[in-house]
Amino acid sequence: MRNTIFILLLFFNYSLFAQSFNISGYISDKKSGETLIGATVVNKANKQIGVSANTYGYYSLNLPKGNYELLFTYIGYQDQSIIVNLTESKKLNVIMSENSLQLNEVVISASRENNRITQSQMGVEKLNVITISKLPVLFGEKDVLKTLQLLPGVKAAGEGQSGFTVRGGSIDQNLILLDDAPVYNASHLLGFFSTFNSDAIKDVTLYKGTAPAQFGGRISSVVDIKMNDGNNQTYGANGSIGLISSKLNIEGPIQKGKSSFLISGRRTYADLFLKLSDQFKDNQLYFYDLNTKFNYRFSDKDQIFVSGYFGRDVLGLNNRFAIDWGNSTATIRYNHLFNDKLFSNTSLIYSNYDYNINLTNNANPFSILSRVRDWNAKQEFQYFANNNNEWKIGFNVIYHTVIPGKITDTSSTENLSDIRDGLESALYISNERQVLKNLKINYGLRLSNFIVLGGSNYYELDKLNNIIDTINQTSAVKNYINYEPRFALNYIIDNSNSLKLSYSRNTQNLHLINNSVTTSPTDKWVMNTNIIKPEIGDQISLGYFRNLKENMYEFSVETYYKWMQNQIDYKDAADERNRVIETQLLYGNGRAYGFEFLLKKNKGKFTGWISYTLSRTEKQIDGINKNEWYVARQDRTHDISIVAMYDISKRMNVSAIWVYQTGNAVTFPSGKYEIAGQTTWLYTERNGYRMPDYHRLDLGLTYKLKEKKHFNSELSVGLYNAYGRENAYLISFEQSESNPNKTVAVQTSLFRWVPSISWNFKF
Amino acid sequence: MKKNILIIISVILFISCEKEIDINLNKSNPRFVIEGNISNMAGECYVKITKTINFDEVIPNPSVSGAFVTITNNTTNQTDTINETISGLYINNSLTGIEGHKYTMNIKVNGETFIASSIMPKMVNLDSIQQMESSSGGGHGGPMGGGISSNSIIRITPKYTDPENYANYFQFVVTRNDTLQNDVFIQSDFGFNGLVSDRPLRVKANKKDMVKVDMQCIDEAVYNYFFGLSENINQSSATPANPVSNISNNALGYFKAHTTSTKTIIIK
Repeated sequence: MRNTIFILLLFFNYSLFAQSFNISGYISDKKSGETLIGATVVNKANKQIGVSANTYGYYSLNLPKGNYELLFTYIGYQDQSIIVNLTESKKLNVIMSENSLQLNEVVISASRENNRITQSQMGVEKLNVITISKLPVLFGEKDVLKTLQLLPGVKAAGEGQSGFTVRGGSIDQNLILLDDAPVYNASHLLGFFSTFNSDAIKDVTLYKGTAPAQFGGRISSVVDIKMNDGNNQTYGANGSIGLISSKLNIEGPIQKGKSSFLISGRRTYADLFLKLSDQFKDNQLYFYDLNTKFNYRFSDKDQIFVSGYFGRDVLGLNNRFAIDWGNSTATIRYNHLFNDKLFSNTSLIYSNYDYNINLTNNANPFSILSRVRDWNAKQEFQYFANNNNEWKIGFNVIYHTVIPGKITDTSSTENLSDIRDGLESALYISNERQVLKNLKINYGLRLSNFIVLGGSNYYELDKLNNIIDTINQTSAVKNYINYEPRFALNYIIDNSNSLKLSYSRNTQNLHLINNSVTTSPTDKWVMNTNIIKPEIGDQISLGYFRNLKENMYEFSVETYYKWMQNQIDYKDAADERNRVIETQLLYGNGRAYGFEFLLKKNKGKFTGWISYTLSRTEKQIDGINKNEWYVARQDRTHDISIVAMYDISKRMNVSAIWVYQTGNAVTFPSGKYEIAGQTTWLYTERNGYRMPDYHRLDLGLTYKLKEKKHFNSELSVGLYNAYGRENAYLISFEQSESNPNKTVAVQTSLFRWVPSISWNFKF
Repeated sequence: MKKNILIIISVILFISCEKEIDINLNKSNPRFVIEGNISNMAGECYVKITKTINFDEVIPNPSVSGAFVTITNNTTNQTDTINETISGLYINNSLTGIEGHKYTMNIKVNGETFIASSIMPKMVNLDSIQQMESSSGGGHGGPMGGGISSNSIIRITPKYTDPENYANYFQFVVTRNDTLQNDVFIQSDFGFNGLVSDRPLRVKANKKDMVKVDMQCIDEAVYNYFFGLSENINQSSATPANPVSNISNNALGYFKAHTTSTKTIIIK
């Protein structure tokens, strides 16, 4: 700690000797007042000198005394040049207008045109909401997480699922942040929808390689989602009416230019169809969610953001069984500028995921509650030492509580498993700087600590996972400390070519234990204990990036190797309901390596991309597969996505997606026998077989209806799985109907030719 | 449960279809399959030995003759031989076990030896069995069809008092009109410790059928075996596996020392 302060002081001093002035401020959109994340400012005379705005739209540029023409640029916006006479440090807030001349042109990468070449990070993907809204999706429900799955290295967990795996990691190894709050279950309706309402979202960044040191806690990737702040200029509303859901988004200023609010809601009504069917009329199935945000700018130096998310799924069967589940998050963030070089953000975050099961038809009605809850505080200082040197220093403390299952009936309450608390904290420092004219580095260190808090039962197990002792103490049971170094190196060959190398280590203290094919609301989150150790993931990657024809085309190849320790899996024939979950678990190693290829066309009437991934993911866990390496379930050798969007006219555009994937690795029987009168399957190895190859074509069309004053709308039509491929969702083995002594394989497929239509409006 | 939810969702979202497909499954080497039983009642001690077959072959799998089978009471150190009566089936009708004692089964066949131990838990009595008024659909019009018609599923509740101590395990063996039902019914006291249990079994039966329920107290390893067996049969796990056996030398199957308490009911 003392060292950190020392380093901090060192750079304050350093800035005092600099013979230059600062020009700084916020960059925002003219119509809505939304800040523009990643907008850039350069010195027009020498474009090498420039910076980009941070996640709050704040920039700080350092220049010697003199006259300059500054050029502000942001994709999809008109360039704006401003002449300044710099004789002292200055505030300059910039308002930019959308590019009306090319309104019809889609631009699919965010921020600076050659950002992929110049930024030091690799394995970073940005999505803007325009791309998301143009692509066809299942049931016409626009979905950020499903659009991410079309990028190299990112794979859907299953048919129609919003859960995804990144570079061989598992679903829970993705850190999904909504305005800094971790979201524990990012899916609705057993995974067919994500919890993110695309109307409320401003920016999505996926780090699949080396994430900067301010991120931590998951070993595979970071999905950083920022909600819109709300229009601080005029009131507006937009929404959509679709086949299974409707959405409404309202925003506007509270005090013009100073503060704004946003409320965005969504509700599915597929369960209304249930009422029509005699067989299912007593069942319920729906979800809703609500995003709200409020911000207020006290002064040029102080701003506060309050944002919240609340979502709930409800499923009821015949008034006998009901389950409801959902996330709620709340974030309060306070920005403060100590001076024009030192930006501070303080966040207080609450995050909660829980589910309730109610059984009402038994003689003893009872309910089960399960919960993961975080109280989280974050502090970050961002220091712009000069244009080529930026520091981030911060800390993060999270208090976790996990209730695995609390069962309540009319007379009593019992915990199915021990309630546990943990304290996770991290201290980090990172620096991005240009060390040579062509060499940019970003390096940092994250020191993470996890304390397994006492106060409930922990266990000692023998080699066969039998309980030999119970620990119950009030003091901490275990303290884990990990050092997580990160670095990313970018060698910029020229304006359109660069070569990057990066390494990172991440650790993970909360683990999702999942033993089924789909994501389920009742999947179990467990924390580190005296037995379950933090997962550790190391990744090294190398990439070549090239832009062609004045950034019209982007091309990249990346290759990675990843090794993981303390990976967790259920033992063979595990009982998920066991009171002491540690007795059902085994631990081992993982490794993943692959090659990713991306060619993207960013401008013109015709845009889109081709992505290809060649990869392998394996695990080795003592006690599984005779202790030998086996391919992980999410392993897919080939994965291809082709995305095409074409503007036919000012009013109409069409889009198509084609995906092809090697089938998941799966365990099938290699023999059978009869025991206790039942045909039983003989398995000889874990994941030794493959599901059939998966491929699918989706089509979409958007037509803008006649514009009226203050009101415009569009119709969007889609067809999922256009050629009706029967993709295998599940393969099971049954007795043959014609000969009960013979066995057959039966394939279940889910979605063929699923049409969708929705009407989107804005006023 | 999960499958039910999936069915409802796919009905709402219109779509799901099933078809038979051809899959090329590997051949496997035959392995020994052993079922061993001893109870506190006479006439329930038997051992059955068979071998596995390939997926495309026809059940029943071949039985294994000529084994030398013994069961030892480790508390009294008394060893009894179990003799082959028909091919692959070894029976000792006079051998009864004692609750609380540990038993070891020893099998020598084709030059291989298989050993397994199991503890017979203290007896818990089955107080009563009761037919629940409704069939599985929850009245009429439920997803599984309604009323008590041919081969309907009827919920039958075995009532017993779980002992005060933790970790008691139970298996229910159901016989319908003298025919043994194959379903695996197991219960543990997890979440129900020390309570009167009234969790129902879903039994296939018709009106006027005579249904007999044997409640067996079993040890944890046997419970885990049958838990794994039901997962294996239902294919409900994403990482399917062979049930973990308590028998040595890579054999499949189980050795179960159990108590038996029986009740019979006529379906109304």
